[in-house]
Amino acid sequence: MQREKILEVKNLKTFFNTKDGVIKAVNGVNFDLEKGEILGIVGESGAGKSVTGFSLLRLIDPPGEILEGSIKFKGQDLMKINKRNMNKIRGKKISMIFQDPMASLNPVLTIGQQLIEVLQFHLNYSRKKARNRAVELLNMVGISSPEKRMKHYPNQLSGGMRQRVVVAIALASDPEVIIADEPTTALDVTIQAQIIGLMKNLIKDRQTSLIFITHDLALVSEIADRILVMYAGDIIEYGSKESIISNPAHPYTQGLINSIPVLDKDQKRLKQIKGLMPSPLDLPEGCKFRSRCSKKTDYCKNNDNKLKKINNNHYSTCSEAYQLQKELIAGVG
Amino acid sequence: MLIYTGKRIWQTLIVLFAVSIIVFIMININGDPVQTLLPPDAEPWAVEELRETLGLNKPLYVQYFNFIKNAIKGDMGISYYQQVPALRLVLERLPKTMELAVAAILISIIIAIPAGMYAAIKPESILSKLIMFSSLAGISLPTFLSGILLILIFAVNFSLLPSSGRGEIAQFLGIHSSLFTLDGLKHIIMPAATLGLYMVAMLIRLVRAGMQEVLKQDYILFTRAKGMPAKIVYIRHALKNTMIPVITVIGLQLGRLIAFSMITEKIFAWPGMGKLILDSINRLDRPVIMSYILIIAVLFAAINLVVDLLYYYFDPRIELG
Repeated sequence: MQREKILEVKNLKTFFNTKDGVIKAVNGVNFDLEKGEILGIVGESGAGKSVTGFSLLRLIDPPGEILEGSIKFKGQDLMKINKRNMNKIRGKKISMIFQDPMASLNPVLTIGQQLIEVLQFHLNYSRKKARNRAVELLNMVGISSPEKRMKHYPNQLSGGMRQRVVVAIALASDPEVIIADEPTTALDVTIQAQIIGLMKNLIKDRQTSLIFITHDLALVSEIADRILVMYAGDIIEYGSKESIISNPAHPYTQGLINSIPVLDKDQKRLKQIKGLMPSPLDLPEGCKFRSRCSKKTDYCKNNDNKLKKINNNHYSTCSEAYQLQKELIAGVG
Repeated sequence: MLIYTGKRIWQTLIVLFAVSIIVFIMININGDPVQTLLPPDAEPWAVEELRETLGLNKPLYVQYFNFIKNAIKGDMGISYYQQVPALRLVLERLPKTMELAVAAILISIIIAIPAGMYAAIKPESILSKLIMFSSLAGISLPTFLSGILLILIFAVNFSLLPSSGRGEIAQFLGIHSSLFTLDGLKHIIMPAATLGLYMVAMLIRLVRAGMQEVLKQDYILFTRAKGMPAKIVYIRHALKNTMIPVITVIGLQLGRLIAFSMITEKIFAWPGMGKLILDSINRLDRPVIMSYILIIAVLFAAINLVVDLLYYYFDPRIELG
């Protein structure tokens, strides 16, 4: 079944010019997003996940810069439209949910004000209509006595409540894509489950696509349709959830999966991936994971970091995996 | 809110009491007003007689007690020199100084807030660098110099503005002020600009620093991610968060401008309180000095109360208490 591609990202490069040199935070990534799909972006801190998310909305401030690439939203290249039209996309067609609900709401404006302004600006609602709709939205995200909450300031709400408000704001103008940047990292586990459940239900009804950015592979495997693994600015593995979880091709992804604690196994220590991600100022040639990899070969030095097809639903940059796959195919053939 | 205000008024009374003791003692240390009131060759009996009429022959604590007793009734004594109630003398001059200070504040707010915001939003632009450079110059320039420079440029060289006096006065909503006539405005603009210059410069730096801090916050990025246009992001979301320190400084400065407008008033011959207090201090005219200082203290307290109530408006997280 071929679904409509709502977002196509090609060769996206976002670099930060710092005093010490150029940080290649996102170094030429390619991916697409289908209508109604949940795409998980996984990776450790500094892998470029969040920068990818912000780049999609062109919310990169100096010293950062989107150097090249195209972001096609329903065929329209977001890199080529002006500021004014970009504001009509942001929050209306593509909205974003941030990591820390404590910080993403303005402390001196009421919940109602922050919700109503979206409806007024994007949908040209009258004050009264926007107010009524805002109450509906708060009700929809499971906030009790929404009428009363409208007049409350963010500091009068708990973290989970605030993230519900943020979700309501993100959904206010019925966007086609939501980018959620670690939306539950700052919340405790029970609230986390509630928010995830809420988001999942709300977007299923509306056929909204979701980009779910997280460092938590276990969490992403619960909700995503496809998974994209990032490492040091590159996508290193990309494919359907089932294929990636059951059959990870890249040693880094394998490491991530192995490091998830399992309840029914008697583990003394968690398995960790040894070492750190290379400094973004000084990235090695070839495969960037090489120095931490237990399966490295001479070929890794010359890896072009291009995604190689493993099967129709699974791509990886790892040459080892690629090689293995080719041999397998050759063996079968 | 009412309880809070009541509490603050009570605190103000205590402050006034303390201030009155300190000022009373200081004036007495400064010298004997009788010496300045009478010619140097006055007969000793004349000195004695004047002392007795002014009540200066009694011990200091008795003098203070008498002063307080009358002050509670609203009688601050009669000016040694002008032979009119001292409080009336000061209160007559107060609106003139207030009007100058308010004009100075208005000028500085109108200039400083947009300029500071711009310098924070576009820190790399040439205009921002110019704004920051002039604000540094403004902070460094002493009032007497900037006042004289303004007179030299606008009154002497271009003959555009009058250099002294208060100009025509009109009444509006029961307030007599030169702010309501064109001639009055012409008269007030230079002294107000002189008085407000330091404040413009300081407010620009304050607004810029506050704004830069706020712009780094997540909720600003979130507002941008919501697709809000620059106007809403900067004015509605960022400026309101920047206002707390700005309001504090404006409040403190308003008090300071009223209390220390003497230099500006002297340069532009503005008939305000500043000139009166300078003369009174020279003559050791105790009732006038006491009235002046207590009125300034009340003003400071009142302004600070208003500032605290404004905090509450700008930041709902602040609780009055």
